[in-house]
Amino acid sequence: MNTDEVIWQVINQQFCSYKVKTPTQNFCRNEYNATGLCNRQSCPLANSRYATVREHNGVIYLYVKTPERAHMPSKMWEKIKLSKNYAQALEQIDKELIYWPNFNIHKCKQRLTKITQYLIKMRKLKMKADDRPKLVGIKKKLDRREARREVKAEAAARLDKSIEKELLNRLKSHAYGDAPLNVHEDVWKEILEGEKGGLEVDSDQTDEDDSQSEAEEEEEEEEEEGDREYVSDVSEEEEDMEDMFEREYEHEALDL
Amino acid sequence: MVVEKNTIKNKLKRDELYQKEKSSKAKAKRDRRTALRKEEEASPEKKEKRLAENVPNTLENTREFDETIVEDDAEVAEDEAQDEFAQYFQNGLTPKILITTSKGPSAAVYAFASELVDVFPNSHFVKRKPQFEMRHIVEFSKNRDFTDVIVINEDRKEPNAMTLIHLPDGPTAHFKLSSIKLSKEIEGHGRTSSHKPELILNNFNTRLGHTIGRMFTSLFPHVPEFQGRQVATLHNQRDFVFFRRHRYMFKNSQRVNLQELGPRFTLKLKWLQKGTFDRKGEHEWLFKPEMETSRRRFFL
Repeated sequence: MNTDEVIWQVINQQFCSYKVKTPTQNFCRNEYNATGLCNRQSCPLANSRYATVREHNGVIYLYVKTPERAHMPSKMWEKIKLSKNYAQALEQIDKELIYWPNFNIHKCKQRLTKITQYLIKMRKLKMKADDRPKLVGIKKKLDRREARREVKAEAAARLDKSIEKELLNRLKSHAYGDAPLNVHEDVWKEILEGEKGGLEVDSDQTDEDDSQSEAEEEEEEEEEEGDREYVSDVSEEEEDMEDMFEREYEHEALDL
Repeated sequence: MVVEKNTIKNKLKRDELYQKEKSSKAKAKRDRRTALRKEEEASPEKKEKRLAENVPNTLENTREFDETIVEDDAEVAEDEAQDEFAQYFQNGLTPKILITTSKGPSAAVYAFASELVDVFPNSHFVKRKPQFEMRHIVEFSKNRDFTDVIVINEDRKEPNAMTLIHLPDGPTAHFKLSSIKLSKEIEGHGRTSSHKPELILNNFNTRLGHTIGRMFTSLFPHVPEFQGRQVATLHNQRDFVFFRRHRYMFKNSQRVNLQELGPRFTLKLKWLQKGTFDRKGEHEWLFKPEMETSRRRFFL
């Protein structure tokens, strides 16, 4: 058509807002361009007979433009929904563009292939997105604070003491049975003797200062039994009372 | 005339006076404490009274009131009888644990994982292949009758988190992992034996703590082998869960000797999720920094 030639002359020699000039090649930014290149054959503006393939929200359409509708810009493009099946969509293009130049048919099919492939990839990525590990920011201040608190909590836990206490509790409450495998005979005998004599030491003490409370318990026992006691004498000139550790060596009658 | 010590110009004199003051203060303190000790030796009940009265304030005994702390609650017991761990606690299911890592782990993670395999009886390490996502691992483990999955996460070549998934129906717990010390890094550590260890769980008091405690319990076999004298401890203190493993020996009726076997590590709960791992799923409990309104508020 004559107008096509006029339009192309303007686009080529004067100005086209869709044209992108690069040193080697000119590209076209028009969304209806089937190839993306700026040339006479693939210009959607300068061809009154044109076809392309586009995608909207995952659905692929064939757009066809004919000279018969050239006078009605609002109805210029015929939009044909293509099948989800790639082979069927190809057949559809063949059917719709029968007797069209090979160039148009070929470029439409190429675009269909490309779009189908990127849709498949998009769907795959979307599926994988749920599996991808979530990235969490590092908060240095929080980390530092937690590290400090952890150290303090560990000190407050007095792990060895609490484990010892729990184990003795279990032994004395017969949690290991009446003939435990995990304790030496002599120690077990000692504990049984202690029970018989009504001396069962209450190890459920909540007192923080274990060494002191233990020493106290021992004292009490001795008083009740009227046992002998050997106490170390502490000189008055001790350097510092705080460093002094009160220790009492006691021998029960059965051990002697 | 009283001369202020700091106005004395002679340094030697000034020093001497300061020293004198210091030693006299120390002596006064010593005398006071010796007198107190004598007095208390004479009447032990006085000492008892003093110790009973003199309880220092700690974060533990000034803890903020938490209404979910469980104390012999029939409702909770009923709840727990029907939870996801009932299979273990009532039907005596033997735990079988799968241990794996995040994708592309480094040597430190493998070392830690191998120690975990040593800790949990009947646990198996499986190398993580990059094509397997968490949901695949859960499926895989379910089909092979695993009861738990442990996934160790790493960041900058160090293990930094642990996800514990109870199978088949959850729950899933995610912990921050810190202060890892492998056996060989612990001075004077003992050699482990293959005996099933006994378990000590301390201070899991709230409803959430109960769940976490039950989760840990269900990682160990029901009946330990006591002749092995090995004990694994999970001690909760201020929401930090300390793991330790020892061999013990009862020395007498008062004392226990402990030899550490290792490893040591600390866990801090970050979130708990119902069901097996779901990245988009809802959390039953999720730690947020804004929940830390006070130092005396603990969740476990």
